Amino acid sequence: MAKVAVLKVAKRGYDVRTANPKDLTIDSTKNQFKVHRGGSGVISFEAKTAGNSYQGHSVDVVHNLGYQPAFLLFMKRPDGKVRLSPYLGTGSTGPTNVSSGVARVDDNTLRFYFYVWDLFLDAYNAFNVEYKYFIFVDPNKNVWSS
Amino acid sequence: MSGVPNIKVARSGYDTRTASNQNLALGTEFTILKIARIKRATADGSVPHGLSYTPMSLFLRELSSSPKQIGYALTSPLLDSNNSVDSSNINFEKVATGDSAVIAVLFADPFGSEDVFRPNFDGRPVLKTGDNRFDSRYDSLKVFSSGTLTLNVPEWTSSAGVVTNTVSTSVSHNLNYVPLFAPFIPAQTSLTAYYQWYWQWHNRSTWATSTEYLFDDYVEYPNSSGTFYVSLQHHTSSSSTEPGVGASWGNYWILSETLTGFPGAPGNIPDRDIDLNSLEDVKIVYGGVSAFVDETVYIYATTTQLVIKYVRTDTQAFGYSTFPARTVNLGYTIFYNRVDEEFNLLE
Repeated sequence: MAKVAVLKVAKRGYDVRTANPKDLTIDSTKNQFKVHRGGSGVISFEAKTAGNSYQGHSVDVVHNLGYQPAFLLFMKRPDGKVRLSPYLGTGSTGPTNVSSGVARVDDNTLRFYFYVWDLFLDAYNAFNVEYKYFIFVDPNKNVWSS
Repeated sequence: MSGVPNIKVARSGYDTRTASNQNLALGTEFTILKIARIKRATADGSVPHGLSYTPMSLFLRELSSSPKQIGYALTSPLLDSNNSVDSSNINFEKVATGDSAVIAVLFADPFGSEDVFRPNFDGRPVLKTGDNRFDSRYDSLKVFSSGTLTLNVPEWTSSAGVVTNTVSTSVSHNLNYVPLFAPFIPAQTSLTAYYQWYWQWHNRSTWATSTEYLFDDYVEYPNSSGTFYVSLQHHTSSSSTEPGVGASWGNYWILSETLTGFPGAPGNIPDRDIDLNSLEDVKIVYGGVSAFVDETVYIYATTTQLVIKYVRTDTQAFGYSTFPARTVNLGYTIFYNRVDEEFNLLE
């Protein structure tokens, strides 16, 4: 087998020449998950009265990969806390009840949902949620490995 | 991106100059998520993460410490956890009852537009790009293996004194530690509850033309007829896709009778192969849960395996129940990254 140049970086405290793959931060002999597309945005929820509190918003992200990619979606609620989606809020007001979910529309589009799902909440004022996503080059199934 | 130096490495057998992005091992033109820290907590509380901005994170449940069983936490105060990060802390909230710990995987990547924190690595060489995409001081997700794991669940009927049935399967990794894996779906999901909520989300009332329908959306058509159709694929409706009538309706809809229990008995799990990867898109519409029978799936890693465990429970409130046979599929990726050992690359 011909010699092949490799690129490896070890975690601090480890010798790159002998480190286990788990202790390498970068290893070109392995498939590193790579982000195809990342993005962020803000969703504005309008004020609602008690008993009329459902509202939903969606964002389509066209990635045009032609297959189902792995992805991560994060949501920041008005309390400043960031959580991974899907997130299921169960509070009694819109800002604490707001939830997120995803649909794989087809092989080229992901749809992110942000919604207040309970019709019977207290009234709430307008608020915003922020989101950030990463869509990987790597598919969600049958990824290559060395 | 022309004019910008880029390091690319293709997988073995592929030419870096021509390989598709999917067949690259590494490329500095891509953002590589930067794992900065693994932190384990055995009780609720907040731990300073050491960054001056709000980062992103994954949380995992340690279902058992001996033997180690670790899977992802679904973020919901209703269910198993409510963990989060903010501008100062990793917030471990509501360690699930019976779990031995929660584990946070903290990324250095900011939620906002801040620069990635640059730790001092004592003058050691660093490979990084100036735009926060790539930094070799942080750990990356490195694929160990990938494939599809299938669990064939046979029909089972409860009997006197036997209210629970467990079936499982696994794939070996033999890394001798617990690795991260994908998909990032909950370690524990009641499919009985999930599908009840799922069908409520996908209830589109009656059919209409020029309307977008997603996979699994369902309509009652004609209206109030008691006849239901389930969407087979994403489409925008037209006269040719009108359920039961249009020239090509069979390509887009299936009569509900062919899906056992759907949708007349909300909560029923469809009589088809269950794709666990679809649990990435959990969406809830308010509704109760059938409490008398339950089918729950567990997905977790151990020091040697990735496991699917399928547990069926019958309260026997209405006699002995028969649970149908099912085929459960999980497209998985196991990473080299170890999750059952703390580290902190921010220090």
